[in-house]
Amino acid sequence: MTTASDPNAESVPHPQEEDLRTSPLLLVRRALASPVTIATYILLVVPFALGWLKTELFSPLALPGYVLYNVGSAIGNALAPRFEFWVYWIPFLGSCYGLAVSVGVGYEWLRVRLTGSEPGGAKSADEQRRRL
Amino acid sequence: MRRRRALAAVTALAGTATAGLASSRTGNDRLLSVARTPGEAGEASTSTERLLPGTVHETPLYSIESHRDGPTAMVFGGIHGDERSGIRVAHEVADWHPDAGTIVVVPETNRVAVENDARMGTDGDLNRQFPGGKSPTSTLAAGIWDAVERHDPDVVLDLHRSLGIYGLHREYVGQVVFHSAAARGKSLVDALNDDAVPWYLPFHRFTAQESTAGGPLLFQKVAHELDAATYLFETTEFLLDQATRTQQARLVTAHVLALHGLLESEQTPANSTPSNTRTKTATDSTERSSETRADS
Repeated sequence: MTTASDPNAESVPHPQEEDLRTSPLLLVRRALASPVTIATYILLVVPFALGWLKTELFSPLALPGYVLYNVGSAIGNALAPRFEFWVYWIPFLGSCYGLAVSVGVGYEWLRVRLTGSEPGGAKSADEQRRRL
Repeated sequence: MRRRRALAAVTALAGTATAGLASSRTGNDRLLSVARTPGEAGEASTSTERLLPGTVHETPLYSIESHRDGPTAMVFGGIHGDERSGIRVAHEVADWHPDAGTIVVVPETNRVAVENDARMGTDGDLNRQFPGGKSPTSTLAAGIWDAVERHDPDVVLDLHRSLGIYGLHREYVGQVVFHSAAARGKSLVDALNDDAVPWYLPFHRFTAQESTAGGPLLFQKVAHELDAATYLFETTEFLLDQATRTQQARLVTAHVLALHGLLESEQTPANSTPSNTRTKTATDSTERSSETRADS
């Protein structure tokens, strides 16, 4: 079994790594629930939700969610003025997830590229798997 | 992995709550303290009268007079009965102490609407019953107008609440101070934004809108016929809770009184004397103006 400390580990790209480079769809699938996606989603939603519950809890961290919700409600209100504003939570949560996935995809894409261009070539297969 | 995610979520929650509390605005305690405590002029004297006595519209009017001469400011809450922040603040103002002049306050202008927690009372929208150059169009409006003429205010502030934000949501006029030509809307919103709106809520920053005098709204009629500096304040329910809306209404009231010399404040400019509230005419049709839209 090959381990990260194995001095005889071969510098062969992991097959999954190779797939990620060639298939954007796989990259997106991976990003759907990646830690970066989840962290971005939490950052967009949680600070804003706290401020929505109690205005005093709005903080600078809520700014991205706040801007998104305001812009979304402005568009929604222009299209259908009679909706109550709480309705915009549904598209807000959806668009936050969309944005979070975009960030996640960007991160994964960047990471795969950087891994491939590291001096000395790819690391051992197991190490790559762990980093994925 | 699940534990790590849960930990991240809890950390984010705690972090934002802490950041929120740490960065929250405290308003302007000094100015509010000046308003709430008697100044050098001593205790103000308060008198109460009943408007439209013996009718369903009967409502108290409080007149709080400082021992020092100064302008008369009238504050109205509850022209729309479901806009609670203005009603609450107007009740508070009945216990304030002007450093000069007289504060006249009607906390529940449309008593029936306030009791029903509804926008309108018995005769429709009260704030559309004050046509410029004509008699008010309902018994209640006539009673209110009679009181306004008797007290002949230099400054009028009408407290309201909207559902959306002006310019962002159609048909809504939240986060705006509509004002007459003689009023100091720009200075007022600058002070209000400094005190009441943190930088990270940019869409909630107040804007000043000069409004056409002579329209059917109370503040327009007062500007048109009594040549007073008049303001109509609109906060919003959009993303702001009751406590915040009330605080904004409280601060705008204190700032209006300070700007016109009824409260002593470091922010009060030296030229804010009662006389300068009447130096401009409210009916100059050549000045830039914008129509006050629905919801006011």
